[in-house]
Amino acid sequence: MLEKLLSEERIKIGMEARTKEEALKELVELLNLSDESKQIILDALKKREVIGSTGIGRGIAIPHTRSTIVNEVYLIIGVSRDGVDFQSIDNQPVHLFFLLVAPPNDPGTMYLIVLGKIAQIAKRIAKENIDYLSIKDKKELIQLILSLEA
Amino acid sequence: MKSLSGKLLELQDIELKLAEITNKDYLEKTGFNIDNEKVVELLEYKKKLETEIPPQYLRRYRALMSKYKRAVALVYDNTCSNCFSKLPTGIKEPSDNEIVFCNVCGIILYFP
Repeated sequence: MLEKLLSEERIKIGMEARTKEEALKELVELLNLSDESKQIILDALKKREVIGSTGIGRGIAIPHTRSTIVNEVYLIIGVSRDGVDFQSIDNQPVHLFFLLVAPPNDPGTMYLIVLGKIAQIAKRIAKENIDYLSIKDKKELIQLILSLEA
Repeated sequence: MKSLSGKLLELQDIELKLAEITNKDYLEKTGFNIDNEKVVELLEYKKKLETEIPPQYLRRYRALMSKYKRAVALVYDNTCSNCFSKLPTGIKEPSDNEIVFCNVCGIILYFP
């Protein structure tokens, strides 16, 4: 399922952001959409963060939102070597981001299924101490994520 | 300053979010924590946003939400993304204070 959503164009290794807002903006920039559409998505993501951080701890965050402005599910992955202050539940900086955006109604509620899968993968990465920070190649990162999906 | 259709789209996105965070499946599958005090702030923002929308459009929005579970749909390739009907050639992107409806399904159109 994730294979269809993973694309090298929507992966950033070596994020420059230092704050939550900068990180969300840097990731949303990877979407091939108009500036107005990206701003709407950014606003929706920020509103979601206000009601509870999606930084799940152990250096991982899963910012996500549904938005009318998209007509398909998008998954964006970001890696920050220095880490981002994301007000995570454990107050530790975030190094790995899985950002998910979905339309209001998606067939087969793919969004919720993908969100659940990503949460499982994130927990596995944290539990098994998988070294994703040493990965420099986007293809390699995709392979790692797909191997964890199984 | 957001356009009227932009405000309606934002209202729909907020309602989607509020529906999501009360969905049992969402909370169980992801394990995210929700700060209820912040949810109250979001509800207050939503109320404020509603006051910025003329009542006749808000009523239309509510009626469409009841019918389609959404009231605003994007226009892609001159097509309504709710009913997939081609829009008549005369339909153009509205000005900031105007709203354009799909001539087939009646949904509020947003031109991205």
